[in-house]
Amino acid sequence: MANPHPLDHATLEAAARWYVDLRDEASDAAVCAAHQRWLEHDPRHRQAWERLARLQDKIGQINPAIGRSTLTSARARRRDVLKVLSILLVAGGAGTLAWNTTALPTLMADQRTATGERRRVRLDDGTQLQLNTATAVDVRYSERLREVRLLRGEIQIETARDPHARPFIVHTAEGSIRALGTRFVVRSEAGRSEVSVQEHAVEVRMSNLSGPVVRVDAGQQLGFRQDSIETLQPANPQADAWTRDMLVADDWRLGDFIAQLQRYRSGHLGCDPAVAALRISGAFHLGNTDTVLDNLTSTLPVRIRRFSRYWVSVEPV
Amino acid sequence: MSSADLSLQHSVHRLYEDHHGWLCGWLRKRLGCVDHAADLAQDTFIRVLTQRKNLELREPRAYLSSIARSLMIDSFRRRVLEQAYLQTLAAIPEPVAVSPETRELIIETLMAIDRLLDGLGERTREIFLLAQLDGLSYVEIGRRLQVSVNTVKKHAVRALTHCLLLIED
Repeated sequence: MANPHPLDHATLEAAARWYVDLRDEASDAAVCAAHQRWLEHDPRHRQAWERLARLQDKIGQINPAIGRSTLTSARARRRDVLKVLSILLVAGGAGTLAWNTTALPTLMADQRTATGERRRVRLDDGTQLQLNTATAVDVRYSERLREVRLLRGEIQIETARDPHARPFIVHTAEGSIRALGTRFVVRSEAGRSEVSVQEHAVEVRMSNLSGPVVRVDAGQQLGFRQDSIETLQPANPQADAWTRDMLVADDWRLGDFIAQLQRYRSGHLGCDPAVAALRISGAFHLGNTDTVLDNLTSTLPVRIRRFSRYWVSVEPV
Repeated sequence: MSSADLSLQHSVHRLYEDHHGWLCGWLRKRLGCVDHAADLAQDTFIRVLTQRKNLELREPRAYLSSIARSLMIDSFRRRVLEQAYLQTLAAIPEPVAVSPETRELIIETLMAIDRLLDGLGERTREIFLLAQLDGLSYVEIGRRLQVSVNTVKKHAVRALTHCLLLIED
């Protein structure tokens, strides 16, 4: 209906004030009566009040806990991305929007990959650095040291011989790994780092400097946290399969397999507990994780349910 | 169809022929994704059609890119919100089954609320959410944020007024 009298700021503010007063614990019958008189005083008052009711209706459709958390986290992500965008714009750098938002320090890293992306980088001295999915690193070469800081994710390093014989060190939040002329994979996730060595050896030191320096030789792997070091284990021979775009499972639980696959996909990938204990073996190409999922249905009694590109679950047939 | 409508269609058609390819390229450079760029280019022309403005444009590409830019920001907001929503759902202990239709509606509503709250200060926004979504009393909000009840009410009025100004009858 066309409205000859658009509501002005003062009327709307009055409606808002009435609403707040009525909702106040201290409000009483006198406030209600006064509000009633205000409503009857002018048709525009009632119109403003109806608009307020529509706003309340809209808000009432939202589950409070879910809505609250969604709005707050969407805002935080947006803020991070906008900061980074403004940095990129000021620097005149690449204009592509980073859809997969991550925390700010990560986005400012020297090298990073999005979820599902893998990349090989050659550093100044010829060292090969490979980044797995959703990974960020800073690289600092100085006169005395070659340092790589793994901010998150997983990397493989193949060190080159340095003419200045500078030590090569990878830092994670949990500790540091000194290369002794080597090829090795480092992963840092949820407060735990893991290094597995393919060639020669590395030395691991926890970040709080307590505890021993542990030497990890080729064919071994070691997990460590800020304040504890695990025992040496035989390395998973396929720890670096991702550098060849492969995920190799050897009698894994399906639940663990799906958790690994999730690392390469945006959004939610779930596994129904009813099928999580099924076993799976094989080499899977990481280039297209949707195909990997679809192929599961031909070897296991599962089906893939897709609610959207960002919400997929593996369920019993 | 009136003659005005016909002439509008005609000029949109011209605009499309002359600049659609350019707009796709413009969007692709910014989005890094061909499909997404094609979708937004399409949406841009739909917006042009529905705005029913006079299309004798001196700077057609500036006009198209300004619409495309606002659609890009919208789609970015939506994407971020959708991801935040899915992660919230994934994080709650009791899984909820949400049909795709319901999810669309919820996300639309959240988008609307999110837009309404744009432009509010951090504290005003927080007080609005505590009162409207969490359903806390003004006294309780004051206690939590260590401010007087009057201050809480002042922010609540400001937030509501802001929203009411943006809603259309």
